[in-house]
This record gives sequence, structure tokens and C-alpha cells, in this order.
Amino acid sequence: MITAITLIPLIAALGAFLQPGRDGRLARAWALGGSLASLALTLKLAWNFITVGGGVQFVERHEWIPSLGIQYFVGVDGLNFLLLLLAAIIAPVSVLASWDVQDKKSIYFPLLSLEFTGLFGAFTALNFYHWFLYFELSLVPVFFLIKFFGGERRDEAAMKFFLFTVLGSVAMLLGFQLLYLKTGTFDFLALAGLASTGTLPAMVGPLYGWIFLAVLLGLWVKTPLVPFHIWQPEAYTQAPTAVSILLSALLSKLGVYGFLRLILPIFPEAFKAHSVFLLTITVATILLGAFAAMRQNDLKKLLTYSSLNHVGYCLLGICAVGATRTGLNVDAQTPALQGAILQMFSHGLTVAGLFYLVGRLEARTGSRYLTDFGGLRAVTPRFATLFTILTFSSIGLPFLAGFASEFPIFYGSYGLAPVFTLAAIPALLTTAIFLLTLLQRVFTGPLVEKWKSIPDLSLVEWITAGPLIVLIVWVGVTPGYWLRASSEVVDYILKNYR
Amino acid sequence: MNYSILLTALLPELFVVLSLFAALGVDYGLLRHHPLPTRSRIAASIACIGLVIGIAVIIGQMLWFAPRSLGQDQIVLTSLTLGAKALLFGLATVVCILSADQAPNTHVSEYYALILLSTLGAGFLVCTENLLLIFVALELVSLSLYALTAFNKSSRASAEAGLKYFTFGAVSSAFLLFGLSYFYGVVQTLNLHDATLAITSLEAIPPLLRVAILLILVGLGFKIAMAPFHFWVPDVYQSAPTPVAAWIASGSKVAGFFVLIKILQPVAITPSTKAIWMGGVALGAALSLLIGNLGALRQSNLKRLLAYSAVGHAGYMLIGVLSGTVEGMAAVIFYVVIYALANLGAFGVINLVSDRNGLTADIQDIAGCWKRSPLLALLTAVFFLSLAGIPPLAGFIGKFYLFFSAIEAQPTIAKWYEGAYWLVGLALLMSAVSLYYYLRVLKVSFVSDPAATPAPIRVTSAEWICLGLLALLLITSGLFPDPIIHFIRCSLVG
Repeated sequence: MITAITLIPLIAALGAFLQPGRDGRLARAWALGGSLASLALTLKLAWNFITVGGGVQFVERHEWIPSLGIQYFVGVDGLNFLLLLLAAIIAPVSVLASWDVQDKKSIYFPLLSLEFTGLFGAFTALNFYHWFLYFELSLVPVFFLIKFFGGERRDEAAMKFFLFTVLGSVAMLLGFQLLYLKTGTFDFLALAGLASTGTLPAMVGPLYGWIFLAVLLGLWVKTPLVPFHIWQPEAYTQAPTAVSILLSALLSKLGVYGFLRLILPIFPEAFKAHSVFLLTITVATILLGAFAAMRQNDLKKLLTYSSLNHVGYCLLGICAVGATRTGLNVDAQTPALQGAILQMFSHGLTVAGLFYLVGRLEARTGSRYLTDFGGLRAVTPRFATLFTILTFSSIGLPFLAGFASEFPIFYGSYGLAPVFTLAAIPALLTTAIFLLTLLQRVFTGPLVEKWKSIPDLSLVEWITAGPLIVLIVWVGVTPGYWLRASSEVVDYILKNYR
Repeated sequence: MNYSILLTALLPELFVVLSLFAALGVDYGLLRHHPLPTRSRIAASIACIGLVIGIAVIIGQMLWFAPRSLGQDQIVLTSLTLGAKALLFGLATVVCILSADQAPNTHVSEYYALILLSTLGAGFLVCTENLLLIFVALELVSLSLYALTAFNKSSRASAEAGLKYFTFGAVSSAFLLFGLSYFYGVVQTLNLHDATLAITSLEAIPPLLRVAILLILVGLGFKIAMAPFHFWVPDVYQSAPTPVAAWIASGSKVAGFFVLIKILQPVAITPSTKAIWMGGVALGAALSLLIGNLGALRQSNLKRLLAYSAVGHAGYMLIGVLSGTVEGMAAVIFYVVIYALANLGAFGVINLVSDRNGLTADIQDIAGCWKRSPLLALLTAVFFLSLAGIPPLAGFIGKFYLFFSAIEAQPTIAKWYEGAYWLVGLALLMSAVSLYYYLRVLKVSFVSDPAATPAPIRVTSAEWICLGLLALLLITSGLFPDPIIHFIRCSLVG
């Protein structure tokens, strides 16, 4: 089933690419059809997913390249369940977000579909080889989408994005090849098993620290964290709307997911040893994201920095676990980690919605500068309502997804690393300030004359943004239901940190 | 010596020689007054028939003959050497098919005769473990290639490239011969297997051996396009007829790396002898990686671009050579095979879009290929992406295996410059750089608009089959590399 979910977008990409005539009329339909088929299969999978006591489910495991110890091994557990779901939801959203792309459709939509394959594959792979394969594959379409369809400074943005992420993954590849030589397996779960019995460091020997650093570097760039975030603002702002959505909602999660899948279970000792350093970096990222966002006039740039800040919260929860002192506040570990996992999901939904609506605003007005707007609520009340809900979720208002995940993170990390958590608090305040300012600037005040006749939400926009809003409210109202999926795997990971 | 065994062992070569004479005889005897295209097509067909029969015989030998060695390792037939020979014959067949529709000048049958001669030389090269025969076979390959490079008599550039290739090549052959003779002086035998024994029994390393290995490295470095002996590569690739360039880049490269691995075998056993050449090869690899990949960034001529990328790829493969282990050798062989297939395909595409229309392989020749011939554009994508090492094509697993073997050779190091880590790091970095120029070609082919009056793309059905087969091989061996890797490994271990 997982293989089908992964490969359907690939088939759709080929279909969109090879259609007769090649004028691209059907390309959009292929991409949408592929992503909806994957979504349907994912929903079926989610329906059958056993939240407690299921372990790794929907496993497919085949020998692939026995000479090099490589297996094809995919499966879903509490760590990647929500991410797979998120990817399946965001995929059709991003296709719908590119509904009015006119130029070179027979290139654009196949690339977009190919990106879905990369993401689905990377979220479900449990063997390093094809995990890395998909991880790399997810770079190529984004590079081209930015380069061909991006804004004015697209060449620079695409190049920067590409170089940084490739450098990171190069380090990671080296690290894992070494790890394989020492342990004889590329299997994530087998490696985690070795680590939990404490035999891994002895097997690896003096290179343990270097391998950890190499893997860390790859994820550091991908997430990104300070100071390797410098590719991010350009890439996010120059990319077309759909790609901004994919980058912020899914590709950044690939980095965080890497921390949960690779770092926490496989390198517990090294992670504990470096946790103060990582917490410092994380808090710096959170603060930088929040303060930089406050100074932006470009809405997309503002959302980019805000996203940097919110993804930082995930890592705050994760790194706080590493900083646990023995016997002290062990109870706080579970909420910190579970919150981080849910935060990936809720931030993905929220930021996708926000980038989408900003894209629609730009499509209507040709501008995305705060200073150009004012009083839009008078002409587009429904648009304003949706935007406000998403912003409130981002700020972290109760009964919306942002609160449901940020609260456990802060609750947990305060118990584990109080100093760092307190240091991150100003960011919460700043976030509220700049997001409320945004709402105020764009939607209230006197209406700017030239926007007097812009249309309110269209049907396509309702279909795209509506489900996101429903999910955000759902997560916000019943967080326990969504947290349950990760409880088992979190218990397993935390065994190494008690 | 038992001549009937010799005959059965050399039966594939015999068929190739027969087809060589048949091509010459038919062309000059019967077809003298026929138009050039007919002559070219018939000569190419005869050459192909000989090669294909040769391949069939080799497959028969692989199935029914036990591995054997004739005349004190002058000819060694194992599944690996036979497989390599079959591959070389296959590559040559593709080269003949690519040339069939455009004769460089009126001497069509000599053209195919020279290609067959160099194929024979390359075939002997992979099969022999005798120093003298290595040199003779290498010269057979080289001399045929010099003539082929300059074959386009009406073009000044072709003549210039041929002269350049010849002068550089002759000097490097001299280096190689000197090196081999010093080597002989140390080990007192021409047989590489005995040489291994002689060297492992040495108590101290004589300085003469160092000189010998250094000279051999210089000589072979030229043949495999290792920097800093790469200066001939861009000019020759650019100015030689494109199928010839394809043959230089694929067939002679495969043979060159086989020889390099073979000759370094005797000195790759003990760490003290390994130390003689490790530094030189590491330096060569690093320089090749840097010069090849950075040089390719600036090229706007497709053939020049592939030439610089060939230097870069030589750098990758030298990393595998450097490891000196069985795993390393297997990785190099796997990589060079994949590289040869992809490169042949890439040159084949260039041949179709540029040479066939009398163009000079500027990158703009391929512009709008997606609109002009979508199938060809897709094939181009497969070849270039495999060269770039994008998964799931075979180039990716080739690099993966290569770097893996390099790390495996020396998994624990004390200083950063030990082992091949820094080199693997550099190679990974450069493969990121290389993406840029490979993807640029694809961008032009898929996204740029064709010229106002684009030249038509004419492709014969034989060419479609060849290119399609190459692409299919790259895809399947990328998805399921295990049979090939397993085959290479098993036949290396014996």
C-alpha cells in the first residue's frame, strides 16, 4: 500500500509529461488525480492504523541489493504516521494552489508530482539507502520549480537552496556508509535496536562522534537551524506559491523527522552530550525567526521567518529530551516529544494555508507588501475570516492546532530545560505582535482605493483552504485524539533517555 | 602449445578479423562505384555482424568453458574478462551503428576497419596479464584511435586534434614502456601473477620500483584522462567525428581502467608497496575531480562539456582504484561500465542532433528537443541524469558503491588525510557541482525554445534500438544492480 501511495504520483508525473499534444491541458488533471489517489489510499491506511500497540505497520520488506546489505523496507509507525497524512493532504492543496499556472504546464505539473513521490518515499522509508534516494530526489524538482517558475531572483535562490542542501546530504551519506561498515545494516530500526542495547558506540568505535556530526549536519541544513538557514528566505520567497507550501509544510519537516528517526533513537549518547549546544542553536533559531519576522514588509518573507520560528519549537521539544537529568522530571519528556510530533502536523497545516492565501492575495493584487494593503475585510470578508483563523492558529490561540501542540512542548521542555524554555518565551510574544500587526495592516483600517473591486473567495479557494481549517479546528479541539498516535513510539524512544 | 585450444579461445577475435577483411574487400571489390551512403551502410553492417557473432561466441565460451589461461597468462579467460570483452564488442557495435548514416570521408571501409582493430586491441587488453602484450594491445588501440581522430580529412580541427592526440599519446606510450621495462627489471618476469609473488617476497623496496610505478602512472594516466595529463581530452573529443569520440570515451576508457587495475595489482598487496603509488593516485584523483568538474561548468560545446566531465569521472574512479581492495576494484569496474553506457548514449544523442545536421555540437543544437522529438529528449535525460548520478539511474548506485568501497578500505583512521575520506568528501562536493552542468543541458533540451528553423532530427530504427537499449540498461541496472555487482565480485574473487 505504501509503495502504491509513493508511486502513484510518479505515474501521474509520467502521464502529465507524456500526454499527446503536449500543450499541457491535461497535466493539471493528471497531477490532481495522482495526488487525490494517494490521499485516498493514505486515508484508508489511516483508518486501519492501530494507534496503540500496533508497532510498525503496513510493512513491506524485500531484498533489494544483497551485495550491499540494502533492503526495500517501508512502514508506518507513530513517528511518521502524521507526516504521511500531512503529505497526503498538502499534495492536492499544492496542486490546487497552482491551478492558474499557465506557462509550461507540461513541465510544471510533472515536477510537482515527482516531488510528491520524493516526499512520500522519504517519510515512509525505513532503510537508509532508499530513504536517502528519496531525500535527494525531493531536491531536484524543487530546484527546477524555483529556477523555472520562481520570482525575479530565482536563479540565485535555486542555486543557494541546492548547494546548501546537497552539502548537508553529502555529509549524511558519508556518515551512514561508515555506520553500515561498522554495523552491517542500513536498517533504521535495527540501528535503533543496537543503540538501545548500548552496543552501537562500542561497535562504531572512535568515529561515533564524527558520524553523529555528519548526520546532524544534513538535518541541520534541511530543517534548517541557525546558521544554515540562510538559504531559506530566498528559496521560500522566490518560489512559486505551491513550492513555498511544499517547502515550509513538508520539506522542513523532513529535517525534523530526521531528528526523530535518526538522531534520537540511533545516537542517544551523542545526543545527550550535545544537547546544551543544540538547545542553544534551537533557541537562537526561534528568537531569530521571531525577531526577523517582525521587521518584514514582504508577506512571504514574514511567513518564512515565522516558519523558521515555529519549526524551532519542534526542536525545542526534541532537544529538551536530550537535556534530561537522570531522575529529574522524567514525566515531562513525553509531552515534549509528543508535542513536537504534533507540532509538525499542525504547523504544516497552518503554514500551508497561510502561504496559500498570501499567494491568492498576490494573484488578486499583484502585491504582497504589508504597506500596500488596508481595510480588505470590507471587500473580502470570507477571505479575511479564513486568514484570521490561520493566523490565530499560528499565534497559538486555544482550540486551534497551534495551541494544541505548542502547549505540550512548552510544558514539557520547561520541566526539562527551564532556562532555555524561558529564553524562548519572548518569541511567543513577538509572534503574537507581528501576526496581529499583519492582520491589522491588511484587513482593517481605511480601504485602499485600488483594491475596491477585488473578488472574495472563489469555489476553488474554498475547496483548497476549507479542509485545512477544518483539520486545524479538529486538532485544536481534540488534541488527545491526535497525540495518541505517537504515544507508543515516544515511549520506545524515551527508554534511552530515562 | 595446443593450437586447437588457442583457436577456440580466440574464436570471437577471429570472427571480428574476418569481418574486418570482409568489409575492406567488399567495399573495394564490389562497391567501388556505388554512392557513399550505401557503401557506408554495407560496411557498417558487415562490421556489426562480425561483432555480434563475436559476442555470441563469447557468451558460449562463458557458458561452456571453464576459466583458463593460455601461454603463461598471455590470455586469461575468466567470466570477468570474457564479460568485459563482450561489453567492448557491444559498445563497438553501437559505435558502428551510430556511424552508419554518415561517412566522414570517402574511405568508408578503412573507418570501420580501424574501429574493429581498436576493438580487437581493447579486447586483448582486458584479457591479458602479460606486460608485453598489454603494451602491444594498448598501442593497437591507440594507433587506431589516432587515425580515427584525424579521419575527417576536410576539417582542419580534426587534423589538429589528431596530431595533438598522437604527440601526447606517443610521449605517454614512451613513459609507459620505460615504466614497464624498469618494472621488468625489478621483478624479472613479464607475467603479472609472478610479478606479484616477486614483489611480495622483496625485503626492501628498490628505488627502481618507485620510478617504474611513477612512469607507468604517467603513461596510463594519459590513457584514462587523469589530470594533469588531460590536456588532449577536450580538443580530441570536440574535433574527432562524434562516434569516434564516443568510442574513445567508452571503449578505450573501459580498457584503460582494466589495465590500470591489473598493473597496480602486484603493488597493492602490502602497505609498503601501496605507499609508493597511493599519494600519486590520490593527487591525480583530486586534480581530476577539480579540473574536470570546474572546467565543465564553463563549456558551451556539448562535446567539450562531456570531455571535461570525462576527466571528472576519471577522478571518481581513481578513488576506487586507490582503495586497492577487491571491493574497490569491483566498484571501479561497475562504475566504468555504467559510465561507458551512459557516455555512449550521450554522444549518440549529440551525433543525432548536431553532426547529422552538420552542426558543431553547440549546446543550442539540442534546444527544444522536447518539442522536436520527445522520445529523444527522454533518452537524453536518462543518459545525462545517469552521468550526474541521480537516483534511481545506474550512475547513482555506481557512485554509492565507489564511495562505499573507498571508505571500507580503511574504516579507521587517525588523521584526516589518511584513507580516502577527504577525497570522498571532495568527490561528493564535485558531484554536486557536476549536477549544475548536466542539468543545464537538460534545461536547454526541455525548456528552451527551438531555433526559428530547427534542423530536423532524423533517426534510423537501428539507432532508436541502440539508444533505447542503452537507456533501458541504465534504468534496470540502477533499479536492480545486484546481479551485475554480484557477477563482478564473484568473478574477481574467482
